[in-house]
Amino acid sequence: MERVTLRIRRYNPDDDNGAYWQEYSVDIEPGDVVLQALMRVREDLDGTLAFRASCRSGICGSDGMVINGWPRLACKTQVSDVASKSGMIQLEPLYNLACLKDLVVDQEPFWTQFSRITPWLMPDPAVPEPEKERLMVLEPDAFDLLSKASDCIFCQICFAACPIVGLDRDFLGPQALVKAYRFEADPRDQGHQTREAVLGAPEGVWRCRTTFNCTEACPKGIPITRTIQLLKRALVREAIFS
Amino acid sequence: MMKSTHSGERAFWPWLLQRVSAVFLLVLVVAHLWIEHFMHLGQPITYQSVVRRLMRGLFDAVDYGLLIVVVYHALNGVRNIWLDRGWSRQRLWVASTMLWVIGLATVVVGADILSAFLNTRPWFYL
Repeated sequence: MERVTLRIRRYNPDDDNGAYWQEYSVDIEPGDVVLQALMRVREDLDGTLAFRASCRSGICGSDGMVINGWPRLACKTQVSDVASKSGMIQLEPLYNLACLKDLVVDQEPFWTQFSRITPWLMPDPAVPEPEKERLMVLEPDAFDLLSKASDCIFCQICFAACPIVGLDRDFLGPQALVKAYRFEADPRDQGHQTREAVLGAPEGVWRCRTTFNCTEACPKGIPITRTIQLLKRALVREAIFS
Repeated sequence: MMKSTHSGERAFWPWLLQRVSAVFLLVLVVAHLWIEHFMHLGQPITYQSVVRRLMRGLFDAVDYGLLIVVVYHALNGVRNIWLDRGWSRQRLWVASTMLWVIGLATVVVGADILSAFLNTRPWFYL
């Protein structure tokens, strides 16, 4: 058993003192993740500490937070991977989203941008509904990329890692764009005309500066930047050749 | 994947031209360095030798191309920085217009200087 110190950025909106840092020392077992250490703090040391968590296995995407300056899922981050030599781990709420309390952020801007790309399949109304199921024919590589784009768990880590989201609140953000790709690449979808105005706008795909932060931070390994580049290429091709 | 439509704002031209100008920049800078440093290796660079070179259309084309591409790429880069600051459209329009004026003035002055070598007298007498 080892001991680590969690240095947590605390904030209580009911307290006038503003944000401050608080340290907690907890025992950890080999293989423990940061979320387990946080739960020990809340159960044994300070019940007022606020953070989101649900499935504890990297599926629900609730426990995104900034760990040592980089957005990650607390349930997928091994303590041994991030603890410094002195056993210190620094935790902050996700960047680019307003802090509500401690490690809990206001998700509203994220969901607002997500809803702008009409994130659902829009089949061609002229094609009659099939009796069994709608057939989707895709090359294996294209299907693989679409499948990866479908893996998004809405954890908001890419949103927090993107420097452009921090600079321009109107930018759609990487998650909305990867979801747009998921539907644009689907041969069953006919919603391009609806999405094009949003994707092709100055705050759409063109604002992405390909810094690859989103791709590096994504806990599901989605090649987000690549899908955004594919959206850009498709829009350029469309504008020039059609 | 995507179907053709022409609705919506076309914001891609500055994005596309920044990349196209980057490719031209790469080619022209390599040509420029080769002309300046390797074409007459060992020979002294004098005013007369430079004038002789600039009286030939091909070398002038490289310099004209470099002038236009460098100015466009640099000023569009500045605009991109301003874009990332989340400026309002009105403010951005004013700033972009200002950059166009600066860019066009720079190209006109540069072209005027270069034209004196090719045509024996400058185009604009600036």
